[in-house]
Amino acid sequence: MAGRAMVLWALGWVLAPGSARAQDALPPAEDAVEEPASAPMEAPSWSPTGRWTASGPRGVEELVDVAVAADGGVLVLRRDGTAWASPDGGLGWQEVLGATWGQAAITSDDEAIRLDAEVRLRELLDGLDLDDPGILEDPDGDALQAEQELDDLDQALEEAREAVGQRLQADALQSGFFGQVQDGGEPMGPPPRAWRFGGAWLVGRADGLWRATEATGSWVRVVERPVTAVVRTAGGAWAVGGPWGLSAGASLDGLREVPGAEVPVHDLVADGEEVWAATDAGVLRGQGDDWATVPGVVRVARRLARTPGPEGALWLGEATGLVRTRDGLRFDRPPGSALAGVEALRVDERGRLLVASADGVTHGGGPDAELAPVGEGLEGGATGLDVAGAHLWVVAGGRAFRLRAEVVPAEQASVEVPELPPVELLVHAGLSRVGLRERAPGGSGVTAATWLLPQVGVEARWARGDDRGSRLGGGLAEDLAGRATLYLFATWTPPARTAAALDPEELVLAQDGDTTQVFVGPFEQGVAARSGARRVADHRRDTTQRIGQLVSDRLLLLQEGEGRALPDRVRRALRLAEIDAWLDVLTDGALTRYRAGRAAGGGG
Amino acid sequence: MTMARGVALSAWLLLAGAAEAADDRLLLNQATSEQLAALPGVDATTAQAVVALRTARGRLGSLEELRVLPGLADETLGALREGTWVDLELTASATRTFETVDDVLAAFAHEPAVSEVQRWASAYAQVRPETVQRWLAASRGFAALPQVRFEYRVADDYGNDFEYFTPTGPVSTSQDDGVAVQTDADVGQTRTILVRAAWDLDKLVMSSEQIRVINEAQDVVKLREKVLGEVTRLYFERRRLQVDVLLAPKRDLMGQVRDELRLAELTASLDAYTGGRFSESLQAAPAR
Repeated sequence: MAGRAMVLWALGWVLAPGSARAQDALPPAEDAVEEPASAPMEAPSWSPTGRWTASGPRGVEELVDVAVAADGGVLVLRRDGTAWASPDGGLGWQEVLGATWGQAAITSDDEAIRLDAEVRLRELLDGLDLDDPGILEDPDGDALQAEQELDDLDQALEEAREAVGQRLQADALQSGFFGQVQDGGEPMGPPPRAWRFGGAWLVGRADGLWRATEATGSWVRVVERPVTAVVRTAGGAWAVGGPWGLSAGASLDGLREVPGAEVPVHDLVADGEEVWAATDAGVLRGQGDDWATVPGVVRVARRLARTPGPEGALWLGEATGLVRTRDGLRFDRPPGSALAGVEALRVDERGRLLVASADGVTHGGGPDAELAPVGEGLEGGATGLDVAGAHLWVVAGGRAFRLRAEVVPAEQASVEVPELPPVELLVHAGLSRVGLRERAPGGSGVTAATWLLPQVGVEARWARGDDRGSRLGGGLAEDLAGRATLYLFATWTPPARTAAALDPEELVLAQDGDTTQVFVGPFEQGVAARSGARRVADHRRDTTQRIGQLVSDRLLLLQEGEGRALPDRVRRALRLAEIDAWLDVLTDGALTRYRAGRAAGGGG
Repeated sequence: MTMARGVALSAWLLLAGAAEAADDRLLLNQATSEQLAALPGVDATTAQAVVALRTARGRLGSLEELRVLPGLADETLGALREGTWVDLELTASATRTFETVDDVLAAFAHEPAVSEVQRWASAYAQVRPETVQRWLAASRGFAALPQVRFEYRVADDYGNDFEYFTPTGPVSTSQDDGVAVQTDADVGQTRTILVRAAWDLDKLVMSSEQIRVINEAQDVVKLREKVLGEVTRLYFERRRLQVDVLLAPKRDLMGQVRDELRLAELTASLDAYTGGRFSESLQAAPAR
C-alpha cells in the first residue's frame, strides 16, 4: 500500500475536486469526479415487462454503440464512426461527429495501405493529377520518401480531417481506394465505441479517441491511435487501450504507455483506484505503471465488468457467454449466463450487472440470482448498452432502443398539444416562401426571344436656328427657324460573343452551389437561369422532406405517449414545442398564423 | 455549503477574451466609466453608455448584452471583450414543488416566446422576407424603366464670302493681284434639345439583374433558415437546461457552476443573434 501511494504521489495524480477551484479557471471536464446524481432517485428495477422503444435518430441504421448521461443525454455511434447526440433522451437528434473512413485507412496497420492512403489523401488535398503515379512508381524509394512526406503531411492531414469529413468518404468511394482498405468487405479496424465520464463524451474510433464537453459542444481528438477501451478511476486517473496496447495517466493529455502491456486491449473497467484490462494476453490489473497479469485468467475476454461490494465479482464477457470470478482462480457460470456473443457489460446504480448480447439484454439481480431478460420488443442482437440512473439504452439490430418502464397512453396525456394544419398546407407554405417561389425564366423560347427582341424607343428633338447675314450692298438679313421632330425607333444588335466586344453590363454572375460562373450575353443568361432553377428545385425538395420529417416526428411522439415522471413529460412538451418552432422556420411563421387564425375563429 | 435565496456565490471566471487570464482586466460589473474609457478602442461616450445600461439592469450577464447600445461598433465590442471580465453569479431559487408540466413551464412565462426571438434574429441579420420582396420588386421594375438620354446642343457657325477685284474688275482667284472684298457674312446659332427614351425588350423577358436578384433571394432564404434554426436550437437547449436546474439542481458546487456557465453561454449566444434584445426582454419582465 505504501509503495502504491508513492507511485500515486510520483505521478502527481489529480487532487480531490473542490479544492480552491472556484478561484481558478475551470478544470477540464475530465478531471471532475463522477457526475453525481442531480437529485435523489430511486434506483430502477429492470422489469422484464418494460418496453423497448426505438428512439434513435430516424432513418439511421448500422448503429453499434450508445452512451448515456445521468440527465438523459444520449450519444449513439454508427459503424463508420458517425455520432449523433440527443440532449433530451432521444426526442431530438443532431449529428455531432463525422465519419472516419479515410482516417480508418490512414491508421491501418498495413504499411502499404497506409502509405498509399496517405499519398492519395495528399493528392486530394493538393488537387494533384490523380493519374500522376508520383512516388508510387518507385517501390524501393517509397518507404524513405513517404516517411519524409508523412512528416510534412501531419498538419495538412489534421486540417483535412477537421474540415473535409464526409467528403473524404465520398472521394474515397469514388476514387476506388476505399476498396483497397477494406478487408473482406468490412471496414478496417474495430467498431467504434462511446463512453460518458463526468461531463465529457468520449468516442473511440479507428482514427483515435475524441472528446467533447458540454460547455463547448466541440470535439477534440486527444489520442491519435485506434482506441477500443477507456476508463476513469474513482480518483480521476485514466486508462486507454487499443490494438497497440495500454496507456495510463492522470489526464487524457498525459497518457503514458504501460510497459509490458503492448498487447491488444478489448475492454477496461475501474475498480476504485485500480483498473482491470481484458487483453489478448489475459486480464491485467493495476494502476499507473504498476500492472500485473491476473493469474489463472488465461481466457481472452472481450468485455469486463466489476460488480461492487463484498459479494462482487469480476465478470468476463466471451463469445459463449459470461464467466464470473471472485478471486481470479475459480470461475463459474451462473444460471442464465450462456449467452451468445457478449458485446457490452454495465453495472447499474444498484450494483447489478447488465449484459448486451446476441440474445438481447439480461441483468443479474445479485451474487446468486439468475440472469434474467430485460424488457420486451427488442429487435435483433444487442451490440451496445449503457445505463445512467433510470435511463437504460441499448443498440440492437443497428438501431437504438430505450427502455420505458411506464408510459401514460396518449389519450391520458396531461398536456394538451395544439393541433397541426394538414401537412399539405405546411408544405405549400414552405414552398411559397419569398425566394423559393420565384424562378428565372428559361428555355429555348426565352433564349430566342432575348436574341430577337430589339431595343425600342422614342426620341423627341426640338431645334431652333438663328442665322444673320449681311450682303455687300444688300443690307442685313436674319433668318429664324425651328423644328420639332418625334422619332420612334427600333434597334437590333447581335449578341456580343468575343471578349473584346464584351459590354461589362452583359456579364452575369451566377452561383451554382459553391461555384461562381460568369456568363456572357443572353444565351449564357439562359444557362445561369437554369442553374438557379436547379438550386431552387433542390431547396424546395429539401424543404418538403424536412417538413415531412418534422410532422412525422411529432406524430410519433404523440403516439408514444408520455412517461410518468414529470421531467420526462416536460421534456416531451419542450420537444413538441421545438418541432412547432422548426415548422415556423420552414414556413416563415405560417404555423403560428394558422393557429392565431383558428383561435380568432377565422380559420386556417 | 448552505445556499440562501438570491446571490449565494459569485465565482470570478473569465467569460470573455483570451484563454490567458490577465490580472489587469476590469470587472465589467464594477468598472467605472473612466476605467472603461481608458481601455484602448473605447471612448468616453461608449463607456458611459455601458455603465448606464449596467445600472438600469442591475448587472450584465455577458458582453453580448451591449449589442443593444445604438451605434456600438464591432471593434469597440472587441476592445471591451479584450479588456474586461464578466463575473458569474450563482443564484439559488427557493424550493418549489411542481405537479404538472404547465406548472413547470409557467416558471418561464415571463421570458420571450421562441417566435419573438426568431423575429428579432431575422431583423438583426436583415434576412426578413420583406427585404427579399423589395429586391424582387425592384428587379422587375428595373427592367421596365427606360434608358433616358437628354441632350442639349448649341452649334455656332459663321461664314464669310470674299470676292477679288482688280482695277480692271473682279477676278476669279487671288493670284491675279486682286484685292479681297468681303461680299457676304453669315453668323448663325442652332440650339437643339433631344430627349430619348429606350427600352431593351429582351430585359423584360429576362435580365441579368433579375437572375442575380433571384439567386440572391434563394441565398437569403437559406441564410434565414440557418439563422433561425440555430436560434431555435439555442432557445430550447437553454430551456431544457433551465428545466433541469429547476427540477433536478446539481448538489455539488462544480455542477452548479457548470450549469450556470452553460446558461450564460446560451443566453449570450441568443443575444449575439438578436443584437442584445433577448437579455433586454428578460430585464423588462423579471422572473416570478
